[in-house]
Amino acid sequence: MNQLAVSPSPHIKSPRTTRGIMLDVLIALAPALLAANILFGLRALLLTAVCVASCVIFEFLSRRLMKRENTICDLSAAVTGVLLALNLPVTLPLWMAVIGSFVAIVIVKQLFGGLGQNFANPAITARIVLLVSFTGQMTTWAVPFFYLEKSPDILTTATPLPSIASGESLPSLWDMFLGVRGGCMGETCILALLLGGVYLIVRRVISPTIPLVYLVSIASFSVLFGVDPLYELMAGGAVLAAFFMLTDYVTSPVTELGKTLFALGAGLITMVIRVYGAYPEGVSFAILLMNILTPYIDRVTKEKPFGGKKMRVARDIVKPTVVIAVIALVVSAALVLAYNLTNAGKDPNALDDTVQKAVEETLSTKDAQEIPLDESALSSDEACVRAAFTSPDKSIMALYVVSKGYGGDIDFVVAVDKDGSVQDVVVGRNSETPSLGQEISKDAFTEQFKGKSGVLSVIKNGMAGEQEIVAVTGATVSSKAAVTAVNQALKAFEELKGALSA
Amino acid sequence: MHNLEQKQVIELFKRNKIASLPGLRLPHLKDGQEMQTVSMPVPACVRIPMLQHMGHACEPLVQAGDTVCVGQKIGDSDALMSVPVHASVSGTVRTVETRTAYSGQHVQHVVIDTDGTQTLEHPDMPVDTPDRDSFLNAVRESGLCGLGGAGFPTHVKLGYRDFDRLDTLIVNAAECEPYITSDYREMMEHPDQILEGILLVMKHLRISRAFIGIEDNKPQAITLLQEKTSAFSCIQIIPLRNRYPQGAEKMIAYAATGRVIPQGSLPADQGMIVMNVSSISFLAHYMKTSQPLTTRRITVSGDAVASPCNVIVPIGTSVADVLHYCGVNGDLRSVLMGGPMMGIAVAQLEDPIIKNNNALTILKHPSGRNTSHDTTACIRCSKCIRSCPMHLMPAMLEKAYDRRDFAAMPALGVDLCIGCGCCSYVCPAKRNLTQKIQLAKPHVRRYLEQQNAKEVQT
Repeated sequence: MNQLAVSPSPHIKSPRTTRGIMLDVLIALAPALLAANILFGLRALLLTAVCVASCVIFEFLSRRLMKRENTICDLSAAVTGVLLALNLPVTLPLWMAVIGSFVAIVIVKQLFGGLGQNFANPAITARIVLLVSFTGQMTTWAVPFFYLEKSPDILTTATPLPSIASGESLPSLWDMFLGVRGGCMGETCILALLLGGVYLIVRRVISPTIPLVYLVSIASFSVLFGVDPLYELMAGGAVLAAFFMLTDYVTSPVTELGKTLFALGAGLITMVIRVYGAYPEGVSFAILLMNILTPYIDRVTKEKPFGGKKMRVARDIVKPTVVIAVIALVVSAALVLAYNLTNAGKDPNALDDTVQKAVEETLSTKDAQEIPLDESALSSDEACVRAAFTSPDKSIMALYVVSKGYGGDIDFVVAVDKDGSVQDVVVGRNSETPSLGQEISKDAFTEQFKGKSGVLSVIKNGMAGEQEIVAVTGATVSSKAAVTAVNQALKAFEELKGALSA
Repeated sequence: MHNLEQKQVIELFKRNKIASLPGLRLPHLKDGQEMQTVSMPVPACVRIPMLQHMGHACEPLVQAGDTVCVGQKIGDSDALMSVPVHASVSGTVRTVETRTAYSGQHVQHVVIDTDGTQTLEHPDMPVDTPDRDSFLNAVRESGLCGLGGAGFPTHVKLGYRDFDRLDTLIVNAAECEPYITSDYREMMEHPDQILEGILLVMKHLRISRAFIGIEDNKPQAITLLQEKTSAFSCIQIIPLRNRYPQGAEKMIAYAATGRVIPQGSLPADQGMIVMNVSSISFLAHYMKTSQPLTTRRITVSGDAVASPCNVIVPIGTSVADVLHYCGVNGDLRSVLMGGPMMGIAVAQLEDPIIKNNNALTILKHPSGRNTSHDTTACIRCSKCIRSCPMHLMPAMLEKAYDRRDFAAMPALGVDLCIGCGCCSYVCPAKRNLTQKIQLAKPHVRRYLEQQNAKEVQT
C-alpha cells in the first residue's frame, strides 16, 4: 500500500534555507574577521569566539527558560555574535563582551519573541549599550600591528573620525582602505568588507539597494556639509554598516522603495551626528534610529499590486520620503541640541570651580588677581589662554589654558614663576579616556614640566631630553594636549610678565 | 513602413518591461518533451465526476445498468457556469456514487464498466455553426472547459456579453511549469489544428488579431508555429521570456499586449480572450468531427519517473491505471495532479483523471525534501515580495492571516493572489505562504459580507 503524502502546493522548494542564508553571512564576514586578526592580532579571534559562544549559549538558555524550541541551529545567534565582535574594540575586556551578548540575544532578540521579531539590530543595540556603559573601554583603539612591537603594552590611537573633527593628521587613503588605522576590529579594513559585501550581493542574500544608497548618501551629505567624502566613507563603521548592519532583514524595510528611504535616512543621521554631534561616530545611532522607523516605512511603502490602484507619485513616494527625512533630521537635530544644551548655559568666560580652585592652589592664595587679557594674541589653533592671575606678591603667575585632547577640550592651569619656568601644571575638567588619557593628570606626568621653559615637545618613549616630555603610554593625543597648553602658557607669559614684580 | 518600425519599437519596449516580471527561474525538467504522444488502452473501468471545472456540478443523466457509448452525454446542468460531461468509454454504468473529489468537494461520479468496443455515440461529421450563437452552443456541447488548469467553461468565456469590445485573442502556450509537456506535444503534433482553432474563434468573435505566447525554452515549437502562421499577418508568435509563472492569464495578457487586467475584472473587459493552446486545438477538432471532450493528454513525469511520457487517457481513468500503463511502480510518495508548482497532491490512487488535468507528476520527496524541521520564523528577507508576479506582500498576508486580521487583508490585495506558489518556493524559512493566502480568501470574503451587512443595517 502506498503511503501518499498530501501537502499543499508548491511541491518543490528552493534549496535556500534560513540557516543557509546565515551561513552565507558568516562566510561573507570571514574576510573582515581575517583582516581583524592580521591588524590586531589573535585577540580579535579570542574576542569573536567569546562573543559567538556567549550569544549561542544565551540563545539556548533563554529559549530553554521560555520553554520554546531550540533555535541555535538556524545560526542567527552565531551571526549576531560575529557582528557584535566586529563592532567592538579589540582591547575590550572579555566580560564586557559577554554583557554585550546578553543585551543582544536576551534583551533585544528573545524578549521580543526571537528571530524575526526584534525591533532593533541586536548587535548594534549591544554596541550602544556598551558604549554608554563603558565609554572608556569602548573608545580605546589599539594601534594596528601593536602586537608586533616589542613592548607588551597595547598602544592606542585615535580613530580617524575625531581626527577629522579636530583637524589632525590622518592616515593615508590607502591605509584607510586596508584598515591600518584605529577603530572597532571589524570596521577598519574596507577591502575585506567590500569582498564580503560583494559576496552577499552575488549570492543574492542582500539586494544592493541599502549599501548603495547608504554609501552614496554619506558621500553626498559629506560634500554638502563640507567634509571629505572619501574619508567619511571609509572612516568609522560606515562600510560595515552598509553591507552587514543596515541590511539586517528583520530590522530593515521589505520593499525596495522602503529600503531606499531607510538607507537615505541612515546616511543623513550618520552625517549630522558626525559633523554636528557630540559623538564623533554616528553610524550606530543612525542604524538604531532607522530600525525604530522601519515599521512606519513599511506601512507607507507597500507594494502596489499588479492591476491594483495606480501609484500616485505625490502620495505614495514623495510624502513618505519627506516625512522620513523630516523625522531623521528632527531626531539628529535633537541629539545635537541636547549635546549643545548641556555645554551651554555657562558663560564661557566665567571660571569653572575647578579652575578657580586650581588657580588658588598653584598660587597658594585665596585672593588671586586677574590680569586683563588681550585674548587674540594669546591663542593659537591648538590652545587658548582664557585667563591669567597673579598672586598678591606678584611673584608667580597662573594661566588658565584650554587645549584639545582626545575627547574634547581639556582645562589646564599652568603656574609660571617670574623667571619664566613652569612651577606646576594642574589638569582640570576633561573628557579623556579613564585610565589612559586621564593619566596626564597624575603627578608622574605633570612633574616632568617642573622647571621647564621655552618650547617643549613630546616623545612617545625613551629618555626625555632637555626640552622633551615623555607621553603617557597609550595617550599620545592627551599628552600632546598638555604640552601644547604649557607651550601656549609660556608664550602668553612672555607677553604678560610685565604684570609681575621684577 | 514607418508605422511598422514604430510598432516594433513599442513591442521591444514592452518586451523589456516584461523582463521585469518578478516570478522565478525554475528548472525546466521537461525530459519528456520529445516523447511522441501514445494512447493508452481503454481501462476496465472509468469513474467520471460530474464536476470537472470551475462552476456548478452536472446532474447525472444515466443510471446504474444503462448502456453508454463514447461521447454520450451523461451529465448536464441548467446553470450558466456548467459544462456537460460525456462518457469517455462504451460500456455499462455500474453505479452513480458520491466521492470526495480532489478539490475537496463531494461530487457524484458515474462509474462505467467498459466493454472494450469504444462504440461512438455520434459518427464523425463536421458541426454546422452558421452564426455566433450556434457556435457558442456548439462550444458548450463539446464539453470544453479551459484545459490549462483552472477549467473555466469555454462557452462562458467566449460568450462575453460586450462582445464588440473584444479585439485580441491570446493563445496561451507558455507551459511554464516544470515537467509538463502536454501543450508542447499538442503544438508539435497538431499545429494545423491549432491554426484552424484560432481562425475559428477569430471568425466567430470577429477578433482581428491573435498572439500565440510560447516560452522561449521551446524554440522548435516557436519555429514550427511561425512557419504555419507565416501566411497570416494577423497571427503573431510571441516568444516569452522563460520565467515562471509566465503562463498565468494576467502575465501572458500583459506580455502579449501590454494591457494590465485591473483588480476584479476579466481579460475580456480589456478586449482580450485568453485561451489555452490545447483548448483551441480541441475546439477545431470538435468542429471537424463533433466528438466531444472525452480524452486528455497527460504528461507523466517527475523525479521518481525513469522514463517520462505523454499519454492520451480517457477521462475518468484512475491515476493508478495511468501509472501502471506508464510503468511507474514501486513505493510512491508524492503523486500530483498537475505540475510541482500548482499541482494538487493525490490522496488516493483511485482518483480519476479529469478534463483540466494535463500532467501527473510523481516526486520522490513530498514538499521538495524539506521537513517541518527546516521551518523557521519569518526573517523578513523579502524574497517572497520580490518574487510575487502580482506584486503582493505574501509575508504580510501570512502574518495577517496568522492573527486572523481579515480586515487588513483586502488592502494587501489578498483576492489578487493567483496561487502560483512563487512565495512558498523561495521562502528560506520554508513557510507555506501560498497555502495560508488561499486559506484566507474565504474568510476575507465572509468578513467583507458581514461588514456590508452591518452597513446595510445601520
